Amino acid sequence: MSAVLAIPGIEHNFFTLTLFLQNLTNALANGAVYALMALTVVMIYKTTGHLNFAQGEMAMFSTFIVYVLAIEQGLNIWLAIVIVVVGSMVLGAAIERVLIQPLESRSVLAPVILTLGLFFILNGGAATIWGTQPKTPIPAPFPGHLDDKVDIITSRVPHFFVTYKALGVWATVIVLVVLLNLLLKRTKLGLAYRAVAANAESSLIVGIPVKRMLMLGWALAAGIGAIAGAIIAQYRNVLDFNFMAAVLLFGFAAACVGGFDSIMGAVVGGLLVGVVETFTPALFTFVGSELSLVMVLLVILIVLYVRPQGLFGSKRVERV
Amino acid sequence: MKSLPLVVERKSPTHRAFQLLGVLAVFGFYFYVVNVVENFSAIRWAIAVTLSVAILGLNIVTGYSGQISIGHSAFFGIGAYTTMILIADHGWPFLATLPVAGALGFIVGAVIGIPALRIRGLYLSLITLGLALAFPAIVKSDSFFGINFASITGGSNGKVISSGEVTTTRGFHWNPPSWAPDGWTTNDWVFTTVFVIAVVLFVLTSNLIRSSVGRGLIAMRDNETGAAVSGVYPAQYKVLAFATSALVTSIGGGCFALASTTIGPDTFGLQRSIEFIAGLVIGGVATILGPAIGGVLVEWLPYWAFEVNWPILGKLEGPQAGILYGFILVLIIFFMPGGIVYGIRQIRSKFVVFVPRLPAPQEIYAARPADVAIASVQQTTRERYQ
Amino acid sequence: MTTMLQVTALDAGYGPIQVLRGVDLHVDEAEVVVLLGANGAGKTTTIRAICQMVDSKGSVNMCGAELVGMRPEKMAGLGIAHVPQGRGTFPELTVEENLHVGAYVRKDRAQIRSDIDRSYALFPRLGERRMQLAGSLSGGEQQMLAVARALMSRPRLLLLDEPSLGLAPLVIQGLFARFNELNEEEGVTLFIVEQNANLALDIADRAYVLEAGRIVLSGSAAELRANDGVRRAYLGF
Repeated sequence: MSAVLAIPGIEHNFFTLTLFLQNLTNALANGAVYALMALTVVMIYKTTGHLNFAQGEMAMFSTFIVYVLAIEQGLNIWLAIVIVVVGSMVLGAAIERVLIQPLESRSVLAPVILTLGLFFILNGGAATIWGTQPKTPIPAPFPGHLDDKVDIITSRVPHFFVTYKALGVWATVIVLVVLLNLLLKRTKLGLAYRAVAANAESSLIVGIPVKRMLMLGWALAAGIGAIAGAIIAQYRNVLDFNFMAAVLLFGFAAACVGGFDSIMGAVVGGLLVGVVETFTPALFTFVGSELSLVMVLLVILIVLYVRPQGLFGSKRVERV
Repeated sequence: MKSLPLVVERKSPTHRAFQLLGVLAVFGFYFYVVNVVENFSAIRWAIAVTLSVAILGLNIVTGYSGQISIGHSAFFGIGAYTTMILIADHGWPFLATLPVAGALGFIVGAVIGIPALRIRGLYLSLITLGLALAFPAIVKSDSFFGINFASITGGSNGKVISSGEVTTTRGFHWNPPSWAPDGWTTNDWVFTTVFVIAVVLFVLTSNLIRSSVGRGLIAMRDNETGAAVSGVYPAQYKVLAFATSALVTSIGGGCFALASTTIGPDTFGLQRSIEFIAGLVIGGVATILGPAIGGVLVEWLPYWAFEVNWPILGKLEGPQAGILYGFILVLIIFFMPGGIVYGIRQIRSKFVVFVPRLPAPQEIYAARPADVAIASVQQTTRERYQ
Repeated sequence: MTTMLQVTALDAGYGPIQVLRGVDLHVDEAEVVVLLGANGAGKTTTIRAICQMVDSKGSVNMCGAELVGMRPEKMAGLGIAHVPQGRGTFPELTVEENLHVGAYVRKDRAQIRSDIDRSYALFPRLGERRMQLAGSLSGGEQQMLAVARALMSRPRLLLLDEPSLGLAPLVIQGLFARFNELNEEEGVTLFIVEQNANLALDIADRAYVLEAGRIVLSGSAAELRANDGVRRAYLGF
């Protein structure tokens, strides 16, 4: 038996080994989900300096299309995801070209307001097309039955196990990060993309089609978002027209913690946000679990106080 | 002599006459609502006015200091809950609750603004997005760092006061006073109260914008470094502007509580914030009239939209109103970037142009044409190389 | 000698503000041409207008191709390289990556590698710092990097905007010595905007003087050096 720690406000069960490990895996799986969204944020921010507030809704819409293809039309789930990812990338690039680019030279506010407008169109559009009730069954990229798990510690109560869904989320993050790094660090296209992120005007001078790189950022974000949406829907077991709104905020928070222009930062930030979200209500009895959003807001505030460029961000942040 | 557009010097008697016309239009709107529209709609107009006040607050930060806040729903909610709780549970008179509502909004605005505004860029929008999503959760929470908010705010059930003839247990009335004209209903009186408060806030805000503080803000929005060099300290100004903006929106929220009599946590979510932004953009960013128009549209547009049988969409309901906002936002950004007010100004400028008081004619000729200046430069250049 | 760049009646500006008013100039093959002028005369705008980075009217002809109306990212492919004022390196890329980016329009991979090595030979400091981020280099090193980066596209015409700005005198002399080598040994045509007129005229074949957006004087470097106005205004004696 573990010693009972009687500190007021602290949940002593938190320190039970298997419970702690279970919390940790949940935290890291949630965190990986946020890392996926943070990656989409970073892809757009790096080159354009914008936050796309419609990013979550774009992912939500993509996930509904995956639903239509995989569940209604009976397509293989991964084939459906590939189709939707390609489609999302094309649409993402098109949105950048048609809607965002003309606004670049106007005020800073115009692109922000435009993405808020997109948020509403996609949100209301999904509600109109697919209704406001959650959809079932949810497309399942990974085996998601109750017994689809790896038991690790069964000698204690509660057991400690890792679900295939959680493993799937981690695998997705790892694969995406490796692919993105290969793309950005090993290809000419990636070099051009990073050059635009570093200095758009000099990129024009050396002959890089800068506008196409901005479209590439949106395309990558939309593609990653489509994968993220499908995986998040299964992981959180919900698919309705609102399921991505809060997730996007956690993604923003993760990107903020990690530094808005760093891929590594997005991943580490996502995991940290997941840990804060899961651990604070589990550890402190005076923090309700419905307050995870508030905790994350506090994390953003603390990061802004202590290290405004984020953990891995470049020091382009200007204080005033 | 050319007849149109009519050129009117500011502060001249003709300009005063036009201003008087504007004042009359405001009175006209008031009498229209009180005397013409049906009693039920008066409350909706009152709510529209409270939304206008909220957007007026947002305009201080978005229009005049150039940063976007997605969290003004929370300030609106703070004001509404403050007024609601003080009236329903503590028996305060309505007007006494407004300073408290405003002060609370100001404090929360400052706390949020200090870290977010020290850094240039999009951090304010990020933090305020979090605020918008967190506010309903906090209101519903029964253990927020040990505080049981739900027991104070009524949790998910929300809170109710009666502003009508029926009195609550604490005896709150908002019935017309004895000196009110015959035939005034409670709704007329609520509208009158809210309307007067709104007019006062609009006048105060427009004075604030024209004061040195306001000019400092605008200077900073347009060129931060330049403003800083001229002695405008960006961080303090921005935090002050943000907190003031929260104050105005909170007072709007207090009025909203009076007008709607029922509030719940989800009245003050992200949707509400984006409505404010939509209202501001549609009405006209960085104008005084813009928020007024925006508030009215935000309240009535969905209502009108739900009446219409749309071509592909059919009857709209619930979240589908969002599509409408979304499309209007996109269309406005592309085709009328200044919003309705700029549209109106453009049409007006075909008929009347207001110009600052003109200096004497000979000064204009000496100062104006660029060619004169260039000619003189060329003259000196030629002399130098000959 | 054949004309490489022919600028005719060039107007340019930013929105409603017109900066250049009917600029005429030309640069011949393998020449070094300097553009002199006071602050605000429109020197930088001239270079930016040649590269189509500002709104412009008139004609800019590069070896028979009309540039006005082209997109700015097409310039590198036509053999124009531009070292903008304030360096214009890519601070978050390494020195070596900066050089690779400079060769963006080229397809010959093997040649690019040998050109990078040649850059290191030309600017040994860069070779020592090849894996460092460009943002961590000193001002002089960044200017060298910007020039090396521009040369990576194997330009026929190199536009240099205030290359001496903010650099120590010794560094400036080294840099201009390099420019001279580039021109004489590799035949790269140079068009230099420079406030340090003395130094610029040393390596220049011809020069123009720009005032208030118009070319007010032109001639050989020696002629301009002898002009009293130029002497008073730019040479300081």
